[in-house]
Amino acid sequence: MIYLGFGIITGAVLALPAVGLSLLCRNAKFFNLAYGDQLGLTAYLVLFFNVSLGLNFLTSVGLSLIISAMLGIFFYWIIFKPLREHGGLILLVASLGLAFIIHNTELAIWGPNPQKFNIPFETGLRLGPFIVTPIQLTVIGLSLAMTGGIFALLRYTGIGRAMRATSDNIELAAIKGVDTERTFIWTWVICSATAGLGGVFLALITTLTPWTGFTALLLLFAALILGGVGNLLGALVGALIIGMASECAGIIPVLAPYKIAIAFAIMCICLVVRPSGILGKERGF
Amino acid sequence: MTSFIIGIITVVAIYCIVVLGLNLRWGYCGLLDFGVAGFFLIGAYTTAILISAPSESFLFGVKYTVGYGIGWPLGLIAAAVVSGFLAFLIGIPTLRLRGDYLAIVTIGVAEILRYVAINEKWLTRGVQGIRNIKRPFESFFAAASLPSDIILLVLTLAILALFFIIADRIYVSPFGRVLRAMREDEVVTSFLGKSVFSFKMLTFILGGIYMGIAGGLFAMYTTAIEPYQFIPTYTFLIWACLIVGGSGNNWGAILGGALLMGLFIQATRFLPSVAGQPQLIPAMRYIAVGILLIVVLRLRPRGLLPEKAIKIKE
Amino acid sequence: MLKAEGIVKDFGGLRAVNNCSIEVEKGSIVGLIGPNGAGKTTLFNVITGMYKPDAGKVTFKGENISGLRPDQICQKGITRTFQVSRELKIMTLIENVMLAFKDQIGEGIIRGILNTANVKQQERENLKKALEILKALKLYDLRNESVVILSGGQRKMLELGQALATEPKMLLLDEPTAGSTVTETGMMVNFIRRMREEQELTFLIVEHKMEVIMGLCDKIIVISYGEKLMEGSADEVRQNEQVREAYLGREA
Repeated sequence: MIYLGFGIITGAVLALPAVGLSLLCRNAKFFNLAYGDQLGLTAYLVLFFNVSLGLNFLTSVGLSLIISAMLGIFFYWIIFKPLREHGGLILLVASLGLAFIIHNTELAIWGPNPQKFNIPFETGLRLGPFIVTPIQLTVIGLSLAMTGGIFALLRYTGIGRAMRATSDNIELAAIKGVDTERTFIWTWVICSATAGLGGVFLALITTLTPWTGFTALLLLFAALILGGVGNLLGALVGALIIGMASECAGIIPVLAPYKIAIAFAIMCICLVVRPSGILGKERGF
Repeated sequence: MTSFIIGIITVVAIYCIVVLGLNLRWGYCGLLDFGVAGFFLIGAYTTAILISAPSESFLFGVKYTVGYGIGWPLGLIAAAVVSGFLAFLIGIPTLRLRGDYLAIVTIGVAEILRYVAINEKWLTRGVQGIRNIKRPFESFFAAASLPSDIILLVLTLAILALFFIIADRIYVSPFGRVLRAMREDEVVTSFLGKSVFSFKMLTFILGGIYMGIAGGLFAMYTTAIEPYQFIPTYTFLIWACLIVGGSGNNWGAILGGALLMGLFIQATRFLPSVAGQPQLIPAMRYIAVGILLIVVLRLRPRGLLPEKAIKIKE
Repeated sequence: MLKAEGIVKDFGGLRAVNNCSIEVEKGSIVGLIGPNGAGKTTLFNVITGMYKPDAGKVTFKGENISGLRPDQICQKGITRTFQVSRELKIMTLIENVMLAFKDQIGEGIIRGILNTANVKQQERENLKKALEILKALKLYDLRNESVVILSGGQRKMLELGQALATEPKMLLLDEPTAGSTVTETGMMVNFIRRMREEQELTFLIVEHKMEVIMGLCDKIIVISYGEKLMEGSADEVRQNEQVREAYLGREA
């Protein structure tokens, strides 16, 4: 039962960055391998403000998100926009390079040891068959709420409609008067923020190491492929399933260290049986 | 001192073999392999497990025996076979799909292999790794001696030269012609009657063989391997070598390997490490490599050496 | 020779081809005309394996080829060209043609590496054949040049040359004179006729240029909105009311 609890928490925490990644990949037309490390980086920034500078936790999160969003724009301008003409595969390689720059920066500055935020330790409450801490509950709630927020953003706001238009057909969107450049920048901002928040939530429920981001990336991609690349609801569903499946694998002792492997096995089976994913449309991006 | 230089040339040559393997997959065929470290690992561990003398390890009172003491030629061949087979398994579901999917799957497979190496102690001795891996002809020349180093260097260079020639021959052959066509337009190549999937699969497997044998050589070079030597960072370094040196060009692969793995990584070993932060200097090296990779992608995406032009003689 | 029966192809909610049946007799040159977006290229794509038909089947020389992969269909003897010609720009003309030959021993990875005597021999023979093809297409002088310097019409000729190298029994040409000058168009038409006579090839051609279709084809099939409107000789088509309305009105 505990495993199911972990599963629900992990699934919920992965949901927000999964949707963000799906949105980014759909708009930018490539798999951003640095996304996972953007998660980790924001968490480390919070660590910096919260632990090193001693700032209040919420302030730290706020500042870190802003910096994270700005870094997202920076990466777009310096790396991904100029390389767009070369196509998705080159962008993928560039994002790999960026991922390692971020990873090693974290390693250089903070070292390989697990880190924790400066927040008061809490005891768990009993909630039915589960034991959860208030922080975990808050994290689940916030994560799911923000995910809903993204969907609402896409449906009801101007920028949301613009993002949908450019991801569907960029030439058509441009003809209809959408400022595609501004839309791209906003996409990177929003998606970097979802990555950042995801990273913070993740660091709250597990420890933070320079590898956290990369491991999260693997789970996120498994979630995306399972749910259907390019399908945002699919990303949400995929995240929940991957979160639960990987944690529940811990029930079988011999499988416990292989949680990521389980997520991957699911993804590979999905690729063989139904490459478009559970909810996916055939067109992918 | 000589031993040291021989050692550096050997390890750089080993990495050059890996870069050649990646050039086959990416440079020739446009296949995104982000699991290089995984193929390298499986070659290294296969050779190590087969070659090293049976050694025992204890875990919670249970005794494990790892190592079969088989000769090195079989060890290397086994590394090639296992690595090629891994490529085949990965290729079946992913080579028919879009290129990005191969990228993601290979990352995951490499990491899973590393977890297996860490956790399956009965097979790999876990984080302790496998020690005392026998060098070729170890009964005549002890492992730590100069002659042993020289023998390994000669073996590595011979394999590097052989693989280079094979890769070059492929490029100018009709097989290579189909690969170059596929890279540019898979659809047209398919409509001209070529089974695109088989070409991709064969290239993928051959690249795997290169990387697996390099892994086996690596195991013999270091005589002790452990899972941490196969983290994704090395995949990224090999990619940087290829991109900087020139993808699609075998000399570029060697150049990139020599420049990055040789100059960059080895030469900066002499920098003093910062007390208390042993990971700082290596991490900064990698940051520099990452920045270099992105700079090269932006300014000269083809790398230092361009692809070879084909001339048809009449 | 080629029979497509009851072909249906949907894309999302749109029905591109609706219960279309066409037949091409051996040794004939059949034209496929219709307004833009009528589904001609989609039909080509279904016949040559790019798409699987949602319904219906395609038979070639009596054999069912529906659902085969494009490379398999090419091996069976049907080769197609593309509306916007897609030759390989990184290669020279001669390489483009040499790529296309069938059954190249050197395409096996081991033989390619070893470069045995029979690989070399076959390469020499293919080179000779490729040069002849280029000569026939008046592209011989440009054989070592990159494809990018070719004009639109020359590109189409090269594509045709590539297609011929695959030793097809039947050619599906998608707008073979698009972007060609008047001279180039004339050359293409003569070439197609020659190929029919000398190599006994069968052709199914999509075209918009009426003079080409009317002059070249034994039979013309008219497609509109994914359905076969009618088929017949050039005169019959020219005089048909529906066809005039749908299409010819603007061009006749």
